Amino acid sequence: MISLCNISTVFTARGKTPVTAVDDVSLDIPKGSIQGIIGFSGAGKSTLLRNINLLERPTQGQVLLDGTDLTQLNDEELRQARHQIGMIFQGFNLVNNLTVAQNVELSLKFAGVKGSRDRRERAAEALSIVDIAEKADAYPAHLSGGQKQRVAIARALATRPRVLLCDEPTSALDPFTTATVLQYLADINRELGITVVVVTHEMEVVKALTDHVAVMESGRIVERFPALQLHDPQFQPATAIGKYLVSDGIQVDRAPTSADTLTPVTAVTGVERALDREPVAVAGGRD
Amino acid sequence: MQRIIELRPELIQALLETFAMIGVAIPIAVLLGTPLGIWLFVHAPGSIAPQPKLHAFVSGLVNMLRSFPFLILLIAIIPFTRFVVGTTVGTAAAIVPLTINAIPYFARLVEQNITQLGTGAVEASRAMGATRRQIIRNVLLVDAKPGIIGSITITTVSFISYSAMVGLVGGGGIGDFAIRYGYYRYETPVMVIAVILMVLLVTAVQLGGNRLACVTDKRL
Repeated sequence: MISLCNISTVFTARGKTPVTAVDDVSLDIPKGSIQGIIGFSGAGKSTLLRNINLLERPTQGQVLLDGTDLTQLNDEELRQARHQIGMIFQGFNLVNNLTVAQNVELSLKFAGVKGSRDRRERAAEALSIVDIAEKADAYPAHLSGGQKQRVAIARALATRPRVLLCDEPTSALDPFTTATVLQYLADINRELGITVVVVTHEMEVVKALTDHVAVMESGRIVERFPALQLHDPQFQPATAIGKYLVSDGIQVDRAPTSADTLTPVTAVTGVERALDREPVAVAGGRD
Repeated sequence: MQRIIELRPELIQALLETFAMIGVAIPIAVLLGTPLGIWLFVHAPGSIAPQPKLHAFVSGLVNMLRSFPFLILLIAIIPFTRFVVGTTVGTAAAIVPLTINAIPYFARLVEQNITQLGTGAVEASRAMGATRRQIIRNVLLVDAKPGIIGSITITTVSFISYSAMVGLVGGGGIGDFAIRYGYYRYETPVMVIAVILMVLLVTAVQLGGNRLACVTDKRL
């Protein structure tokens, strides 16, 4: 489906030493699969993702989508190809002065769907996939983060793409909302057969969602394994970075005295209220 | 008070002249300054379609026009003014330098309005296969609209004040009226009345502009 062949991306700013964000990466992503790309900030994973739809043009290498090398296309052909590749972002990137429906219709307009009635119908259809049709006339400012991301997913799906690129899709969301959004991505993959590529720094995300995991560090893929292995308690990644990413939680060295001075927490009210905030997420998905 | 009533026809005339100057200069500045501001944004280094050299040239030109003290610009472009309106005195002649000054002023504000939007929605649009024209029309201008309305308000207010200086070429207007009758002839009450009228005018423009910007802004 997607084949990245020897991709390198070098950023050259005048008067500065060139930065190699992606360094000779090759990756095959099978049709209908969910590929996770994990790594820390600055590892080059977002750049690699943006190489796929050429938002960032690689300095070297080929990007094959069903055998077509996207790097060889002219501007017009590339725009056509991009209609096959949906994308969602950490910051949602909606047009704030347009309603939810208008945002989705915009992607159809960009894709050349003629007729405002057609666009309206298809936008409604896309919104209903992520169960947010009732917010069609709301503006993004009145939505929660999870709702905005669902609108962004609907916007990406409206053009019926074959691939969905997700750039840190849940990094701005709380764990409950994250679960909801990941559930929608899983459903979309399964029901619509869309190939999904997810970039994240959260091992929980690749564990819950993906089929294959690639670990990136300093612009290279240093390790890959089937995501299924993450569910095996015996599993040990080969690299230090992989081990750190699967390790439990964050560890910080602190002065030993600080724990003694902490006041024990007695009040636990409000927990239920926190759970109520995103009732859908608590149910583990949609209704 | 008697004096004010005496001067009423001239006061009304002055107000009409102000309306004429602002009413011509601002719409032209918006019409030409908006595309110029968009151009400055689009072709800036690191923007959607960088053209560093051409951008530096145009940007320098804008800066130059912007840095002219208005009175000097007024005099410097007299030949141009004559070419455009056929005269160098009167309200029509005053409109030319006002407009010339307002275009780069407004363009810079528009450029700012667009720049401060952030790159997220543009990036999403590129990923959706939008053309540059579509991005400008359907994304940038849509999100910048409240800001641009605010910029029209600021420009109008600034140029109501600037227009007071066009008395130098017999441009007239309420500001010029305040200077001629109130200041030069020591008729303080007349000056006060004229200034109060200007304050009311500016306040009305500002409130109206704010209102309009607020109605079109869905970001909050």
